[in-house]
Amino acid sequence: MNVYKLFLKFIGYRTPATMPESLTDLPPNILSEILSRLPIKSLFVCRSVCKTFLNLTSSNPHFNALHFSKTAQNLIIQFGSSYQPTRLVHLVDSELDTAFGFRLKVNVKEKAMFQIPKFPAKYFEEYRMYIGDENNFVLVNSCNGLLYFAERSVCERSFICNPITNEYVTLLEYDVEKNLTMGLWFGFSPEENLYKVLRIFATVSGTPSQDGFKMEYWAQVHVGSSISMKKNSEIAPPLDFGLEQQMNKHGMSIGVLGGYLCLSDDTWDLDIWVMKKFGGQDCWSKEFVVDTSIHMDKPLEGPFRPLQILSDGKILMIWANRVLVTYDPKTKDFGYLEFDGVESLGKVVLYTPSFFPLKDALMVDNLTVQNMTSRENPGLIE
Amino acid sequence: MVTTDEKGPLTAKKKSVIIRSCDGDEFLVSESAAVLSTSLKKILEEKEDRLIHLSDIDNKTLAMVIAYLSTHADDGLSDDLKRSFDQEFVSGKEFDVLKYLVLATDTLQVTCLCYTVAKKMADIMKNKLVEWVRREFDIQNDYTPEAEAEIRRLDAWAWDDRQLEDD
Repeated sequence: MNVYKLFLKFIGYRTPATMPESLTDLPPNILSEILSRLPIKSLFVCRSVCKTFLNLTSSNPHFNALHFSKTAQNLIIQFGSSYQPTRLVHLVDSELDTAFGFRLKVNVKEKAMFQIPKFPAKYFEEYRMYIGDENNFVLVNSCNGLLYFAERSVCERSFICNPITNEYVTLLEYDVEKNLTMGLWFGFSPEENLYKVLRIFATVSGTPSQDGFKMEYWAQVHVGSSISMKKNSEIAPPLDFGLEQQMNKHGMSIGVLGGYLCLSDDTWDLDIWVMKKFGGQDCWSKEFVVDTSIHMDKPLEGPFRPLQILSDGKILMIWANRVLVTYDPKTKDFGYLEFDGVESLGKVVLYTPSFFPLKDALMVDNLTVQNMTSRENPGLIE
Repeated sequence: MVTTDEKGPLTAKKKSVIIRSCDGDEFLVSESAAVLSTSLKKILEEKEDRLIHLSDIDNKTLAMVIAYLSTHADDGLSDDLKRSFDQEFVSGKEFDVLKYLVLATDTLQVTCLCYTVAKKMADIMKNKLVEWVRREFDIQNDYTPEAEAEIRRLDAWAWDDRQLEDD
């Protein structure tokens, strides 16, 4: 009972019989509206307040849908280099569009959101040895609250996880004997209502002129109790994609920009092609040419990777795996967002948390879902 | 107490509705404002009577809802003005006031206002200590100490070292 209420009682303020005393007396639908608008970390802290809050936010399809429609974008960061990534994955719940321009403090010692599960080493007959013991899984991207991790070595393993529900599923491996993966992307096709993995690959054998790249769609199909990849189709590179660019395999990346498939290349400037209508080679259009030579006040070498178009039209990019920058296509100005006390970001992706269980999200029956860590789903507490 | 619509003689000619709060006071509202509430719209479609009695909304809360509805029914105001009115409308309000307000928007089915108030309530709750939330919002801790320790352990990742407010 706070002073304000005592005051109301004192002046004879009449509270109708049905008026709630406690916040938890409000109908569940209103409580859900309030809780779904909390930043993700605050929401998880609030689950400790009372059972009502926990039960409303656990295994509740109504809340899942409500939350996903309201939730803000966060950053997911995996520290370390691409060759030596850490197994710890962090979440930064900044309000991105408004927080820009300020230095974001990220404490590496801060509690990680989760730890990447350990996968067993695999025995390869060909090499007569176990391979994949290093478990160098690297965060690739995020789509609809799901995170895609891949390990690029002799055995190319990957998994999809939902850190909110603490679940993951393993994807079957690619055939890596004849080609080399240059870029990966996990995305959702609304037209087909399907999640897909895109892969840029270069053939290992062959003459240099044939040593270009192709893009493949790997659609998920249901096989037994796991998700397997079936080669679905190929996409040819843009018509104006030169031979030098094709050879510079480490300068290109695929992704989604403004809701469309995009391909970027930084052989000279940073060129960004976008595929606005799905189809052949001629469906690519070069949407942005970012002049990366004009910001010499920051002597940093390294590639740019476009992440997203922000609401104000600026492009959010990660530069040299280290600095988040915004680029304004109109003024050609760069904006910086640095991470205090961080040597290398490793991998950073934009992430929208989702409470949907993996099985519902991926729409696959008989899915073998595993828990990522000892952090099991609390479920309903009676 | 009868509060007249402030929009003057032009709109006074339009149909009006009388809404009575649980305290017994009556408010005169233009029909164009009243129908922004889905519940009131349904009632008006079903009955001839222009008097609506709301048994679970008090004077103070009803006056606020009506001020909101009248502003949003005013075609002379731009969307930007309405948006800044919404922000002004919820700012500085006590949590208890917001609680009754959000309940009234649920009863009257005024979705936009419900969302605005819910957002404001979430803004008040965010980055606060669990103890602060319990104290300020009269919430009984119904966990056993063991269950509370367990849920805190499971959600430990969200409890970072940033300064949670306890004011």
